[in-house]
Amino acid sequence: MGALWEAIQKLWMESGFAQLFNFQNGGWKNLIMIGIACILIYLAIKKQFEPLLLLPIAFGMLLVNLPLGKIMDPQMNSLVPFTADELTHYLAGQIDQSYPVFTMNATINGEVVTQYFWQHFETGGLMWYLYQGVKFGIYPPLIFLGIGCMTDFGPLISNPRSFLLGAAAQVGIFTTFFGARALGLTGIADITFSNQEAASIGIIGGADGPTAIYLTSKLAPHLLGAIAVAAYSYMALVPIIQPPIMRALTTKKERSVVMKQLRPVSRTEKILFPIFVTLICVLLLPSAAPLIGMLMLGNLFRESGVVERISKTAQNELMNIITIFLGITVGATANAATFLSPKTLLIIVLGLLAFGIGTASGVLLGKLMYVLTKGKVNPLIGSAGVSAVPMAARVSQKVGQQENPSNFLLMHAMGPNVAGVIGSAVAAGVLLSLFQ
Amino acid sequence: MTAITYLSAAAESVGDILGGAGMTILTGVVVVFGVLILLTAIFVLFGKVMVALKGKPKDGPAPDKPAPAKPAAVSAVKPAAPVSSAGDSEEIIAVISAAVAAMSAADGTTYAVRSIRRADGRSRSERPVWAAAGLLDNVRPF
Repeated sequence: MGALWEAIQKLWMESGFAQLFNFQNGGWKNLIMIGIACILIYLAIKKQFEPLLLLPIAFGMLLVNLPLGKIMDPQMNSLVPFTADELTHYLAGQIDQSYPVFTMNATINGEVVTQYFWQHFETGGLMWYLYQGVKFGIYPPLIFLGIGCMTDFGPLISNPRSFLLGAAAQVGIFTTFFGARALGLTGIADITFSNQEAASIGIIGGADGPTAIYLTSKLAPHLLGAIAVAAYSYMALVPIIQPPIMRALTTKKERSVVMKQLRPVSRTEKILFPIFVTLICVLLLPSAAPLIGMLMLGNLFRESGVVERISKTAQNELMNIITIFLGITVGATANAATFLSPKTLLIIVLGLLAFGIGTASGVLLGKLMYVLTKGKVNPLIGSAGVSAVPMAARVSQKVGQQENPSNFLLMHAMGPNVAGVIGSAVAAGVLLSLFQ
Repeated sequence: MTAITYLSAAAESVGDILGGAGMTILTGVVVVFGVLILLTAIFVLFGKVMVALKGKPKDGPAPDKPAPAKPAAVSAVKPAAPVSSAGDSEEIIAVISAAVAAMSAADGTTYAVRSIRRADGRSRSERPVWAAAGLLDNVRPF
C-alpha cells in the first residue's frame, strides 16, 4: 500500500500539474499564460478576432506553457567529457557505447593528449522544428505569395497617387520606433528597448501580420509572441480604432466628397505592374526582396492568367498550410518567461499608438490631397493606407457612407490599402537594412 | 555576414538615443516616401502611355466595356445571317453570337460568326462534348 502511494506521489511530482503549482520555481507564471491563451481562444472563436491566425497562435501559446511538454525545446548537440572511470573502462574495451564517441587531440603542457567526449543528441520538440520556417524567414514571404495571388492592384494602377497615401500611413511605424526608443530616457532597464526591439514594435503600425513576423523574427525573436498577438489583435480592432481618429481629423464636407470613377485598367497594365514594382523596389532596397518579390510573384501568377493551378494553390492550400505552421509556432514562442514582463504591456500600448498615428498620418495626407486637388480626393481613403486589407478599406467605405449614403469609397480606398502592403514591406526593408 | 557588435559598457546618453532615433525616422520616412513617389511617377506615366495607346483607332470594341459591346456586336453580327444548318431557332443563334461577342470584348479582336453547325457526336468519339472539353481542360497542362 505504501509502495503504491509512493509511486502515485512520484508520478504526481513529475506531472505538469506539480510544476504549475510550484510557487517557488515560477511555475505559476505558466498558469497565467494558460489563462491568457484561453482568453485569446475565446476572442478568436467567439468575437472572431482574426481567427485564422489568432486561434493557432493562442493554442500554440497554450501548448508551450503546459510544463514539461518540451514541445518547443531546441535540438541539442553537446559534447560531454568522459569521466576518468569511463575512460579507463572505454580504453579497456569494457564500455557499452551508449552514445557516439568524439575524440579531440589537445596539447597540454607540451604533450599531445587525446580527449574523449560523448556526443549527446537530443531531438527538439515538434514546434521547434516547425519554428525554423519562421526563424529563417520562410513562412512570411510564402504568405505574401498567397496574398499577392489574392490581391487586385487595379484600383492602385488606375490611381497611382494612392501610393502616397500608402506611404503616409507608414509614418506610424517610425514614430512608434522613436517612442519605443525614447522610453530608454527613463533609465529603467526593464522598459528600455534596443534599436532592434523598437523596430519590431514599430512595424506593428504597418498592420501587416507577415511583415511584422518577418521583421521581428530577424531583429528581435524573443518578442515575437507579444508582437504577433498585438499585431493581429489590433488588425481585428481596426473598425474600432480607426473611425474616431478619421472623424476627428476631417470635416463633414471633406468626408462627403464623392470621387470620380476609376479608369478601367487593361490586362497588360496589370501584368506589367508586379514586374515594375519588383524591379524598382528590390533594386532600390535589396533587403525588401523576399517580401516584395513574393508579393509581386503571387500577383503575376494571378494576372498572367496562364498559371491558374499555381495561383489557386498559392491562395488556398499553400496559404492555409503556412498559416497553420506560422500561427502555432509564433504562439509557441510566447512562453511565460518572455511574455510576462513589463515590455509586453508596453508593446501592447505602443502597438496601439502605431496604429493610431498611421491612421492619422494617412488621413492628414488625404486632407492635403483634398486641398491640392481642390476637393477631388476624399481624405477618408487615407486611413486605408494602413495595410489591413480589406478591413481598412471597408472602414473608409463605412465612415464615408455615414456622411453620404450613396458614396461608394470602397474601390477608391482599396488603392491606398494595397499600396500600404507595399509600403509596409518597404519600411520593413529599411529597418532591416539599418538594424540587421 | 552581420558585423560583430560590441556592447558598450556605458549606458546610452540622451543625445545618443534621441539622435539615433531621429535619424532613423528621417531615413525611414525619406526612403519609404522616395520609393513610393518614384512608383507613383512611373505608374502615372504608365497610365498616360496606356490611355494614349488605347485612344488609337482599334478594330474591336474596347476590352473593358463588354456590356455595351455585347448588344452592339450581336446586332452587328446577326445581319451577316449565320443560318444554322440544323435549323436551330434564332434564339440559339443569338445566344451563341452573344457568347462570341463577349469573347471579342475580352480579346479585343473581332470575331464574326459565319456558320453554325451541329457537331455530330457519333462521327468523332464516344464521349459527349462536355466530357471531352473537361478532359481537354484537365490534361492541357501536361
